[in-house]
Amino acid sequence: MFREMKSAYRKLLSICLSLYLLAFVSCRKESLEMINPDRHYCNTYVSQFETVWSGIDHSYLFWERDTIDWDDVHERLLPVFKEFDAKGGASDAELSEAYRSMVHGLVDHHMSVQIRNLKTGNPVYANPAWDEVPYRDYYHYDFSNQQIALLSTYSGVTEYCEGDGGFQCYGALFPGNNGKKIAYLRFRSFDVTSYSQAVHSGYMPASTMAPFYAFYGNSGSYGITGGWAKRDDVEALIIDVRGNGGGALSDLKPLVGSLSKTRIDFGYSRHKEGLGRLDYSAWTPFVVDCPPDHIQDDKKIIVLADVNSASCSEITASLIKSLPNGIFIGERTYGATGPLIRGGFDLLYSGVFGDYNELGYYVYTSNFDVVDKSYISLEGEGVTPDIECIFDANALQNGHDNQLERALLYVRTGK
Amino acid sequence: MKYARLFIVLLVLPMLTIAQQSMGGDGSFGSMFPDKAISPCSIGIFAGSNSNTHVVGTAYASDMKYTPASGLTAGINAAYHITGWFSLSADFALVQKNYRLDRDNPSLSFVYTDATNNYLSLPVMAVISVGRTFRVVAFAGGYVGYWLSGHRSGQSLSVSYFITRNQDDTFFDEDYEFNEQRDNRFDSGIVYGAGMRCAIARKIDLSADVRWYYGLTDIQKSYMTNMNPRYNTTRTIQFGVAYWL
Repeated sequence: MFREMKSAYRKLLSICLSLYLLAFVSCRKESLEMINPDRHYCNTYVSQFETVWSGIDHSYLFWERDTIDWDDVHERLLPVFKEFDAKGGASDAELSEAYRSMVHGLVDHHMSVQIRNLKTGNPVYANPAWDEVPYRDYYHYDFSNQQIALLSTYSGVTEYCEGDGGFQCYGALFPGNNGKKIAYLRFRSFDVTSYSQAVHSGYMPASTMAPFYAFYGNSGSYGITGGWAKRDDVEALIIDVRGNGGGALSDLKPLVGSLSKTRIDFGYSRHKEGLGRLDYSAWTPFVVDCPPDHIQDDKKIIVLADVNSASCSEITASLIKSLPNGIFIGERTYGATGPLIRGGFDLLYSGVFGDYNELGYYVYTSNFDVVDKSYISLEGEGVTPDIECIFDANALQNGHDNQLERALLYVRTGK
Repeated sequence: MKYARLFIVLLVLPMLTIAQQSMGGDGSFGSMFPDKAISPCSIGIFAGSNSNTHVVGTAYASDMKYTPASGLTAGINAAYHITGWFSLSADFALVQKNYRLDRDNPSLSFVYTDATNNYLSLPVMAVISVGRTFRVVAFAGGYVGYWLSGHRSGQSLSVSYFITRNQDDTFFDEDYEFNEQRDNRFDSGIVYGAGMRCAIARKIDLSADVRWYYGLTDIQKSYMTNMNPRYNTTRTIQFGVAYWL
């Protein structure tokens, strides 16, 4: 009996050990070796293509929304790049066409691919937005300089000012109703926080930010501490971001958050979290805090934006549009609404990767997917104005900025 | 899936053969209560805790650290005792397969995700036992399952954080929304383990098991060519009681 028991226990032990070993040599698929697209040296057209393709494969943000068959893109284009290698190089036009074909149709309007042609040494570019935005029926080039030149010529304009230290910003007071004023501010990029720091550090004169001092009472980084925005005789504020290509997210709190009495609860944002195309983080609130010094009354707030307003400008348009006293006048914007952050790839393994100078390729692409409260994304679409006013080139030639005049009309008539 | 089935067959058949040979084929031990042979079926309930490891290759995303997380398991069991030492057992179990994702990056030390995943699992196992009052059991088999639901909570980088550097808006706590294109809710794998049985009354056994659910099904569908698979390995410690019919 004892012998039988011992034999049985031995068998039992053998079976357990066998199971344990078998479990660890069984049928799970192996993990793949993957190219780190941010740090991969390429010396052939194929390796450039493979790196950029796999970088977008793993790092691109909008795969849930895009309809492109990315695996098919690889299958279709790999022979093209093999051919480039086989024949000893490609012309810039051929290489550009290949990469344009690669990214054509991707929804990310921030995206830009820059590749060094190994044969010619020249950079070639591909940008999916270029295949979409210029074909909108209302598309026009940026006429910011011509529009700005008209500002001081309008009847009744007072206190016109502009930055004089390289930061393009402009301010003015227009006549409103019953002797009141309409404060106007235009700036060409969201670099306010960095310029403000330069001014406060003494590297630049305060006059660099003169329109911001006039509008906010400070360099623009501290909310509304005074200035036109705080004056009782100013009935409306116009923020003009036409032709503004965007910039630093950190500008949003002082510049836009201060135009609200409470924090602006716009919607949600998420980012990639993993190397799978559909690996996303959870949605977290996209809010813009209201700084302690913020607007105190119910002035009308108008944002002017156009088809050349991109990125932070579009977010600004969305945020002001969401305010109870805010309105967006102008044109549907560019459609690059997904923000980027500096060093985003190291933090999120997504977004911008590569280094043109070091590695010969560079891909600029969004880090954050932003949606409104209804989870609607405007990436690739742009923000639609409350009052559409299409740019009129003929009017501009005749000395009229029709979009600015529409904003002034809105303040003066309420419609 | 075809590999899982093959694997289960390859495991169970040799076990049956070995066990049968070693016991002489007469089921002569393990029957503390001989009349149990008259009614060879038992049913039971069990519950316990588990620790799940989410196995995924992170490649160059090397600071993404998936760490095991604890969960619960509970279910009902039915067994058919073919001989005194060999039985077939099937469970209907709810098994949590949780994990945590941290970032091993000083500037992201606040970022984490606690993922809770609730699975329905149906393991079928061959069980051999030795002993009398106290019996030692070993079991192996396969399971199929279904990913019922999930929940995510934690802190994540958000646009707001980069605007304000304020962590208040980085929290999330939400039910997981399945993505039909990515998430493979069917689950299968092998299950194996060992335990003890103690007969405390004529028709009642207490049990204590350590069990491994070794997933062989990628929890993602094959929706892209260049992807790393994700698997769950779940170790449970569970206690139960069985009633001989």
